[in-house]
Amino acid sequence: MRRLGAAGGLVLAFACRARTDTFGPAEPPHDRDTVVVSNGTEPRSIDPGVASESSGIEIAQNCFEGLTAFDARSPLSPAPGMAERWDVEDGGRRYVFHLREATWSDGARVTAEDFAWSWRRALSPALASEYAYQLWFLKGAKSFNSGASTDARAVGVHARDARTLVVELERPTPFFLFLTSFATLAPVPRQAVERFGGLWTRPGNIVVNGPYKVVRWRLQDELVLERNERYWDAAHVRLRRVVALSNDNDPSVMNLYRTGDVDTTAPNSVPPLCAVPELRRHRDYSEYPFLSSYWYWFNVRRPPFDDVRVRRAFARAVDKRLLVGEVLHGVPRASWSVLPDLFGPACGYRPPLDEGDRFDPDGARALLEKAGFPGGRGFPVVRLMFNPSDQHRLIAEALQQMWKQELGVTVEIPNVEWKVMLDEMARGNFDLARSGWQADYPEPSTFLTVFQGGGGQNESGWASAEYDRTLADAMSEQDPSRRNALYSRCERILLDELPVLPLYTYARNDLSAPKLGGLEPNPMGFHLFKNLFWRD
Amino acid sequence: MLRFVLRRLAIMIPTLFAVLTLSYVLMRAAPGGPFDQDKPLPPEIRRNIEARYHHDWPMWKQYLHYLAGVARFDFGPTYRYADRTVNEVIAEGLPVSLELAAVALALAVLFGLGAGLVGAVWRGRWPDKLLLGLSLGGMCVPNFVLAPLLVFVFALTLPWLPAARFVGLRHVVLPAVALAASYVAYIARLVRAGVVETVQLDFIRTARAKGLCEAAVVGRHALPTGLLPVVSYLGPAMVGLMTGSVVIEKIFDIPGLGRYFVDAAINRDYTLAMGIVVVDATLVLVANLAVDLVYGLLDPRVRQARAGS
Repeated sequence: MRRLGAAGGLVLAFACRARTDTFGPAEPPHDRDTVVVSNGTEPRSIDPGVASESSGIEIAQNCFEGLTAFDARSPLSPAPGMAERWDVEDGGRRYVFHLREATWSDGARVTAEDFAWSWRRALSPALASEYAYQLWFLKGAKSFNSGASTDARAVGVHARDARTLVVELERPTPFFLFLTSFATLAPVPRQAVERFGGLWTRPGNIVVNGPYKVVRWRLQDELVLERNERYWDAAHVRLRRVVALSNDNDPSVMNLYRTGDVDTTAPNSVPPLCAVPELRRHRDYSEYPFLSSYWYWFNVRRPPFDDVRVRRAFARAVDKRLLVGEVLHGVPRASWSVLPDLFGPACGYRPPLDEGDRFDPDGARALLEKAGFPGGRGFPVVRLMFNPSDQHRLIAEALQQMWKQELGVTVEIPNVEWKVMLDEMARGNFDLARSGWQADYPEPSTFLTVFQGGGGQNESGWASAEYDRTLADAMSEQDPSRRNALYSRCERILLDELPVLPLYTYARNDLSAPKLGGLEPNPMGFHLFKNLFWRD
Repeated sequence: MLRFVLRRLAIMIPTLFAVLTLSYVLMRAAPGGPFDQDKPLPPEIRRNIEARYHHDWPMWKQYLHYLAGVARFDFGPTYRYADRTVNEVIAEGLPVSLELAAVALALAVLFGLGAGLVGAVWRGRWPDKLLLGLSLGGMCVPNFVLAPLLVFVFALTLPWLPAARFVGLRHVVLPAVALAASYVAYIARLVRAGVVETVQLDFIRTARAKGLCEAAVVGRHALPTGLLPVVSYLGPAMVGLMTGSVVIEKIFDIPGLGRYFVDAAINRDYTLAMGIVVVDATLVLVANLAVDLVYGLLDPRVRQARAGS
């Protein structure tokens, strides 16, 4: 399959030779009531309670509206959605949402009980929702979701009346209003779920409360959405129809964009890296970073990476600017911090970097010598695993060369199938492994909780009681500046201990028709179709 | 004849059972599972998912549960597409793959037959040499090279045909041509060889001695006999076109069974992969049976041997 990508890229490179102001057509070749977007891989599910990957969440967020609505300009202070206002009580432990008068697409009224029922459903072990943990901030939610408690009524969500929803949290959660805009916390139509069971998301059965409704769904091909005229804000939804293509072959998406069959590679396709230098000549191409980090796990359970000096030596021997500039055409942003440097605008957090975190080959060699491997002598051959992709291989080869050159060590980069690699990682049978993290919400704890001891998501085997304690304190802290200071201490521990080697912050690169408006770059990478429009 | 067909159909059931069991064992023996992912799940969530799909049961119990479903023609849920069952995915993907394979096969037979006949009739002369060269090229150029070239020429440079997707007749052309190319070449060579061999046989000499024109000799006598190797090739070719269209389906974003199969294998979507294996195995068995039946109709010697046995 990699060869397919290369062959497609070749076609693109030739196609790009025809110099024009735009890579695709300047005018949309279809009616101005429709937009065709590329939604990436086929969604696993579009049921808000079940959707787990970006393509499914994208559809769910555009068909179902939560209490709040995602706002690209201020993700932590979202716009009113189904709730027209809310009160925060008990020091941030209780939220009282006041719902607007709104209806489902079948005409039924959207009530507070719809939310309570939907959240309990998403938490029920039988539904097995992957993103149920987005609701674990509610009182009693984790216990119910894990099966330790069977009393759904003990979960901290209750309808006081048809238009008032009361939510009790385990502890103050400063990003809770973002979570209420996330798909997992959107309401689902109880009437349709109970009537159609597992078939309720099919066109014809589906009932929505958001701006769009699915009218056609051809697997591995397209989802056609049409404006929900019963949506409370339908007057501001400008496009009647959105066609979301399911297409995980990026070169092919570029070809479709070139011929005018796709209006934007957003929200979930990316042009191949090899085409970037050519694409940058066109004004319909753009790049922007988002809250996602690319890193390598060190396995600290066994030598040689059980020695923090070896981990630091490996980190300081990597010239990330060279890597990003030469290998990745400068698309992502080189990162010396574990967390992306993008939380500032949302919550004021800045990574606590110091000079020791930068590229320092002399320092790296000195550290390796102190660890007992002067000039790399006696250092065992270690293996770096990555999932099959041209880009991951290029990065691995570059780092293999840097470590050989700067430290004199040999790193093997075997070709391992993706699931085999995940299996090896789960069993702790690796030295170095490619991974990364994408924010579930725009707040530092979405990254920092990954490194908690015994969390199941920390692949390195590293644990620190001090880290866990500081993070717990930070997550309960109400004062934003004190909370950021505690987060900063956590990240400093990570940078000193280095269970991961951070390499870069991901960037999205998109092609979008020049006259298509409403695609607002944002750190979460979400797009609301209701904001899209065609310029004159 | 009826007994022959019934006997072959009866053999299909244990064959399919063996294929199913072997696939199950191999799939489950492969490292990794359907719920391993880049972003690991919290243990509580993972337990819920495993319970939902009965992965917390012992393996033998899971297998029996699966077999009981298959006996009712229910291949179970897919892990990858939570909103769908395996039966639904196959019902959506199979007609697409069949359509693509049928068009490609029709193109392959049409052009392969024509080229083979021209080569046989003008044996050793320039049309024959030209077609031999082209067919050699057709066999040598892999479809993952041909397909992007076709896209470049006919979709991007001359915007005559769509670059991808499979939603109308125009969308079928490029993938079908890319898929058929190597089959055209192979069929042309089979036809040429078959006809060239046949025209040297005694009954053709007799036909010529009776004063028949060359067209009648080739068309009415040499061609039916010369086509026998082609007929025996058509069954596997159809199945090969269906199951081997993975690359083409990927390049042109065609929602066919081949693409589902590769994705299912990569994602360890056990139920979907096994469902497609059973469908493909059934197609192979049915195609082989059909070829044997047609062979009997075309060649009296086979018919007689079958009657004798």
